[in-house]
Amino acid sequence: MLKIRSLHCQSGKKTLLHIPFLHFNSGKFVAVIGPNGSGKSTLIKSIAGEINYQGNIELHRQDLKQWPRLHRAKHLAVLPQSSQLSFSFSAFEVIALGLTPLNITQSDAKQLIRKKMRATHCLHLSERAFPSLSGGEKQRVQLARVLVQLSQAEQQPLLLLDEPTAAQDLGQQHNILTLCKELCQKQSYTVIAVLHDLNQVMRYCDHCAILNEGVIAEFDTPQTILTTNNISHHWQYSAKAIKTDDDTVVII
Amino acid sequence: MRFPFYSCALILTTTLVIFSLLSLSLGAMPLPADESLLSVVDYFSGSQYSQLLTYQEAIIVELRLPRLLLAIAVGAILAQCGAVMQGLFRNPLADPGIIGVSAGAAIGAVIAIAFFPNEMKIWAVPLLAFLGGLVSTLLVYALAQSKQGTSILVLLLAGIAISSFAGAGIGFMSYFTDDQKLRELSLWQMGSLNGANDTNLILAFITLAILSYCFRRKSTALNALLLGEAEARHLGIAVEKLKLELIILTAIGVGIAVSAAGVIGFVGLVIPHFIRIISGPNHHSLLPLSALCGALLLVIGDLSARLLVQPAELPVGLVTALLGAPFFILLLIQQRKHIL
Repeated sequence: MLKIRSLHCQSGKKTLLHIPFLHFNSGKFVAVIGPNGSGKSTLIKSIAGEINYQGNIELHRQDLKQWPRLHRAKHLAVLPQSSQLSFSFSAFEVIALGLTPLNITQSDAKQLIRKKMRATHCLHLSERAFPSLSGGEKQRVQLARVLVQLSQAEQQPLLLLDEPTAAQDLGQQHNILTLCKELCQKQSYTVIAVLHDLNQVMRYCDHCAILNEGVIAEFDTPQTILTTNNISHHWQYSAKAIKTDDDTVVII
Repeated sequence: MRFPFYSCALILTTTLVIFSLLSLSLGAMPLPADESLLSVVDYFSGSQYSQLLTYQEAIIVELRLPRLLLAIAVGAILAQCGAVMQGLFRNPLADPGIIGVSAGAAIGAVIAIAFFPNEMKIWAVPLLAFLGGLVSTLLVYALAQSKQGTSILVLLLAGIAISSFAGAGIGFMSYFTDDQKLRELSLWQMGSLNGANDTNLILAFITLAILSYCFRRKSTALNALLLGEAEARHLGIAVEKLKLELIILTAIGVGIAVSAAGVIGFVGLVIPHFIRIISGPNHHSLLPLSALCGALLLVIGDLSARLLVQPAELPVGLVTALLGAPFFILLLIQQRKHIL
């Protein structure tokens, strides 16, 4: 559903990203991993249309630059790394901003928002002022907002997450990843997330792309490419892979 | 603690009506409120309800009523423009006065007052004030915008720069004008509702109507813009177009307000801030409530300007600055850690 062809980004003379071809299927949870400065955020930002690039990125066979604005908003959402919102909207009001591109009655909207708040475990934050929330709570509220935004998609939507687990405690990290996986399996969302924890990638993601120096070095299932060899090659860290009793592999 | 929109609107409207009546009846010559109101009715409908003497009626409909109406229009325009600018810059410190937009409009207006013949002034002053306001908004915006977003520090510094330039420009031009114009200029610069006349009243109310309508239509987009420009774009907002439209609309508002009443500071800063506290930052409620409350503040400000030193009067800009400047300092203390 998402096709990237001869994508090229540069800043000054430095090439940030160079991807000849990359294809994402719908209903898949894909992790983008790689060392710092390898172009992970640049890839997310190019797909999101936040930065200039050469080449083309197609969603459902249509160049993303050609999508009408509101139609695009219903099918592609981005969870930002951090939020600059400093006005004291309540958490509920922030999530309601996700309604901006939608056609929806007020009572339906309220139900929808509450449903997404339950899914992201932030219903209890509803009346709290957004700027007073912790980093992790803000991130969950923002996630509920983008889920509201995608709720009227006519074709399988694409959700981009830039380090969604960065500010979360362990339990919340797993909640968010479980939620993403469910969205992929039950509603055929495509989720592309920048992640850092390789064990989480192994456990939750269907595919995994290793970016290094702006190039896709590997793209396959996590089990295939997250080998100790690859890890030491890309991160200069000699990891150990341990098999637990139930045959899952753990990287330490 | 937040109050529902309709209760806020009701309370503000009631208070505005009460103070409007007071403003009609109080002054160097106090007149009964009910008779004052009747003479306004007489003035518009041609009836004869009022028992006041002719010269008393004249005081009301020719002196107090135009001032009152101008206070309402200018207050409502400035407060809404302040609220919109704060949304546009995503910072509660943005205010047409503080970031130099009013000063830019003032240069334009002063050029028109000093150099244009009297019969052209009616149109030249608002037009040049609008152009001055527009140029300074665009300048401030271009200066403060960077990849990391809007820098509030640069915004405030740009305001200082434009204001000093405007001060110098106005001082320079006062050398070329005669004594009569000089007095007119300096009074006007401090902000005064003294110059209310049919033309600037009609212009101010048309502007108020157009701005309120346009801002209302942009409320959803303004809310989304508070999330950040990238986020607003992802929500399907045409951000560049929106910003340009808002800049032009606020420049029109500030230009018209400044050309009619001079530089009246802090209305656009204090009012939206107060409304956000009582009913939240949602622009659907923020903008209409700010308009009501801004009108109320200027009506009260003008009333006190007339009553405090009667039979003389203070420029209303002094009164709002007296209220607004301490408030600005409080805001600065509160925002200190976000600025640097």
